[in-house]
Amino acid sequence: MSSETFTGAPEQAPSAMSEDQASTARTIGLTGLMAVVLGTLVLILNAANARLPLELGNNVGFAGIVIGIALMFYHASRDNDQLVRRLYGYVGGLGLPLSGLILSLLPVIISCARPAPDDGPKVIVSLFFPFGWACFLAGLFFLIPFCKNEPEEDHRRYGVLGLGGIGAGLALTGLIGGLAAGSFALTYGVVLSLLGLAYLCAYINQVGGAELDGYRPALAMAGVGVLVFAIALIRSCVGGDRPYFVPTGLVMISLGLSYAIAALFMVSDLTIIVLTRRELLAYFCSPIAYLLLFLSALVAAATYNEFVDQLASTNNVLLEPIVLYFYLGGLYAAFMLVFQIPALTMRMFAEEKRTGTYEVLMCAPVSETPVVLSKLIASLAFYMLIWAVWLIFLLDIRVESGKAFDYRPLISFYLVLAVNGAAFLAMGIFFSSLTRNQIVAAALTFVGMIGWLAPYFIIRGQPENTTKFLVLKHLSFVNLWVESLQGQLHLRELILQGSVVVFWVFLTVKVLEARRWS
Amino acid sequence: MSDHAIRVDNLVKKYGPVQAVDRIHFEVAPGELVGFLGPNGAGKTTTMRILTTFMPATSGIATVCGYDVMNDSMKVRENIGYLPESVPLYPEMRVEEYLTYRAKLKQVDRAIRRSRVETCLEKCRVKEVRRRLLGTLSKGYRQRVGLADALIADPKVLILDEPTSGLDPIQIRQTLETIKELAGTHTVLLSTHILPEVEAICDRVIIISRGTLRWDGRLTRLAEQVPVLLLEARGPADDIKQVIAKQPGIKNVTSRELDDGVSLFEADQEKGHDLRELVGRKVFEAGYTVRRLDLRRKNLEALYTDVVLSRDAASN
Repeated sequence: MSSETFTGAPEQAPSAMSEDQASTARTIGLTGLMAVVLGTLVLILNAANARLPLELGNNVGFAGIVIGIALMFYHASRDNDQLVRRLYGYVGGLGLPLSGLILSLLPVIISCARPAPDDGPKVIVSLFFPFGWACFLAGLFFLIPFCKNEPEEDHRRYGVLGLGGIGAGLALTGLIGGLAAGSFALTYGVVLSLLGLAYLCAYINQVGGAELDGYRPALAMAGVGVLVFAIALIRSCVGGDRPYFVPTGLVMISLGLSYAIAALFMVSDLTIIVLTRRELLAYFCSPIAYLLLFLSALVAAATYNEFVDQLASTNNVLLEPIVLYFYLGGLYAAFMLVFQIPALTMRMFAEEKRTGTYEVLMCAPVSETPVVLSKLIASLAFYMLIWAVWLIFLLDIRVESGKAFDYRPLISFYLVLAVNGAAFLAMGIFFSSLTRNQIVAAALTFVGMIGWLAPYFIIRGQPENTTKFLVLKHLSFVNLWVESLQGQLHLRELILQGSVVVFWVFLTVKVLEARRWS
Repeated sequence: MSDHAIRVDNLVKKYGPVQAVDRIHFEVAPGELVGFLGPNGAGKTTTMRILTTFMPATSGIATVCGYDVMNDSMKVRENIGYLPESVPLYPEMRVEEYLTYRAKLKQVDRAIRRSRVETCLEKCRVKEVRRRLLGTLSKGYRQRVGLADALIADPKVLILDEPTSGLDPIQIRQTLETIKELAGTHTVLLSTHILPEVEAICDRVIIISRGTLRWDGRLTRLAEQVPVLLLEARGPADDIKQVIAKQPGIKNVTSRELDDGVSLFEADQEKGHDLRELVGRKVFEAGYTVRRLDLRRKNLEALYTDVVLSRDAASN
């Protein structure tokens, strides 16, 4: 009997066990919904100047909404009932961007329709800040799990189309508007373009990556990026009565470049980029990454709180550099790192070795160096994302106080963070390559991080001219952070940290290669 | 540069004091489909891992497509497709996404990549789960996704470690048919514990046990061996034995008492003769009743049992 006679029904049931009821996730989701409702209520009552027995500021309302939505994100991606997930997808994923659109455009239309006041030009307002962009951002986080988990092609298509459509709309509005008007570029343009970029990246990912149906959209995205880059560059070169390069030109050039680079990153077939993409995907699929982001936000919030207290105690007068007081007011950030680096890197090789995927990986024609570097690049990208959360709080400081502060030390600080972070992560990856047990890898990295933190405490309060101080000062990353936040940076410090990266990467490659010697 | 697809020469692998593989030697010609058999812990997986360059050999030479596994590791890896026993997969990826990722790693050209993925999805019958997460697949599907991954770059040599474990009987047959189709254009080294599978698709069989090579030959050769004559009759065993032994062309008669007076006689025959009828008639004429008259050909199962229990380890 030939096998053609047997075309058995396709298997449906997975062998893996899964919970029947997502009761925990639902509890969390409903708690989130309640927090959002209460937060909104507080905002409405405050807006209506209601006299409450208990005074609650707008901050409490916003915090309620933000925390509630975060809890709902969790529920949206975890609930195993298709209908619940679909509901989140449609209401959260398509409804939120739609309300974002209405909030951004309706006030513009209304204010345009109103007659101009006698004593000046018409004031056109938009609620894009602070509501519109937040709606778009939240919508993205609901749409991604919806597209990822929806098994029915029809429903999924709406989600994917939503991602692509909203992304294209945001990107084109931001980029064209930015090119047309300089003032638009610096405010709405940047945020719109970056949101559009995030949406488009998610879209390309959801239609099967740049490999399958995403190739043309990715090329189109790269094309738009290059076009914007070229136009901004030409306008910067041509010149006019007012300088264009700074501020507008540079912003538009960077936006165009980031579109082009993001698209190339998704399209490229270079082994190291292919590997990095997978590592990043693994990060975004693991709960530990979101936990780390949440932890970072929490630490940033605590630091921010302390900073505001400090500000209040000095009658809102604080000497520059403000950012130094913000990032290193307490040493929370440094302590956070001691826990975060092990959590980011423990998985890397230990997990692959334990599950055996390492064997499959190394039986493809891939050598050790790209494998190690891809893990380093992916973890570094995620590490920088963790630190990007802190920028939101700085934005808040700027908006709340209404005063400009010196932002330039941030450039040196983030440069130091990247190089310094790479050194820590490379160490973690090395420890992960030694073992197949994640806990061991994490413990070793933790000890290593304590070792990095120790010099700061050893030299604190010591006389500055001893040899011990001079040597340990270079090893203490906290001292390096302080220096960079003061807007000063020696290249030699970066070279020192960079050589540490090379050292650990070299060791990791050798450890992995040793498998083929013994 | 040899014209063998796989050549293993004096291969030794020690794990500390344990000798996992002990001076194994075999060659596989291009396009051959070879069954690689042996009990658990015999060294099959170790040998395969050495061939895939994942592990170094303690001593000896192994080459794949003429490339040394030690010195030309990259070239070897470009030419093999490997399906490990436990089929490790990334749980967070989707089937199609995973195969595309693997195709990129194996440097499948962009122009044909999509069609290769489609072909492998089709060939390994995983098309209906192309959008499913790997972590939610059943064992059978995982196995077939692993096979699709091994095939994705259309490698010259395929090394498959138990490709049918965890499949249901129909899937086993389908997978074996897929593998059989590959023979001729691809060299396949296939390890399994299920002997009828090997008999169904492989001509050549290599059996190793406790790290040493015990048997390397063709099943058709096995079939050419002269079958043993079996006869069960009632009566005194010695008398019947003599009757049988007297017939021309019969050698080495052995007897074994079965139950209440019936004995089983086994006799070797000379090549090219079927003496069943003659012997049957003679025994009957001598006054004994015949209960069973049969030939026993040596099949793979008998061979395997013999070889592994190191009885009659006649190397080819």
